[in-house]
Amino acid sequence: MAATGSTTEQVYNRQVAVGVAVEELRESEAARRLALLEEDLETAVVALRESGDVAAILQAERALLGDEYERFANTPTMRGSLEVALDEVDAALDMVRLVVDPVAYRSRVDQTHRVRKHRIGDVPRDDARMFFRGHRSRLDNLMKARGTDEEKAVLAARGASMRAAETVYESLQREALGIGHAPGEPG
Amino acid sequence: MPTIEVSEEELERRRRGEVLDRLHEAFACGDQDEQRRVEAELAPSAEVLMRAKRVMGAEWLRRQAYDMRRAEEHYGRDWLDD
Repeated sequence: MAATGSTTEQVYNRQVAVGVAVEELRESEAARRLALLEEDLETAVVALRESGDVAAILQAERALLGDEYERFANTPTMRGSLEVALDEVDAALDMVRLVVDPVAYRSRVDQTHRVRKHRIGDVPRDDARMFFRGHRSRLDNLMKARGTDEEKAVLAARGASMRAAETVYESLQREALGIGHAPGEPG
Repeated sequence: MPTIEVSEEELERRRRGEVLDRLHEAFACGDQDEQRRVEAELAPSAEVLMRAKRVMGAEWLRRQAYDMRRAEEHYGRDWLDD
């Protein structure tokens, strides 16, 4: 690295070269294959969402987060953020296991989330609900970062899965607590 | 001895890769004259050149050594003045 006293002109000329190299990369056989495989990933995420299986959706999300951690976490901030997300998805999975047992859910969650700020409407704002909301924000932020069309499509599919899983999870909460559907929700 | 056919597209890709390697070497050596010579061989795509025009302006781009044929073919001869 010999360049000293670099000018704006030199910086932008380097950026032009980077732009040419990025195009080379995108036009390569490997990049085309990667794009196809990312489309497959998006298809798989959508199919899982359509199953409505909250536990499976969360387990898949955990796997994707774990993979992001292993492959891309190259700064303390990124590692920290992904570690929090992994902790939160584990806590959400615990809730999914608990919500199907009405007695346990009422005593261990409903009773400990009685104050208004710990509820969404008339159900607890428990660890699962917190994860769904928090993780959607995390995915929305990633949508603002640079990435290929295929990567963005996978992120959008994951965000939609979080919304769908939250809807199913809320109905499980209502079932556990023996309360009716939320206003506006089909019965 | 069997011959291996290489497409025009592949040859062009290899040529561009070599130009990028030489550009990196020239920069690493701090050889600005060589950088300018190699930049003249780079022939960036119409898209890269349009981006450079938007970011740095037409006058800046005119001062550079880039071969702008691909942008002229794509956007027309007067693309820098539009």
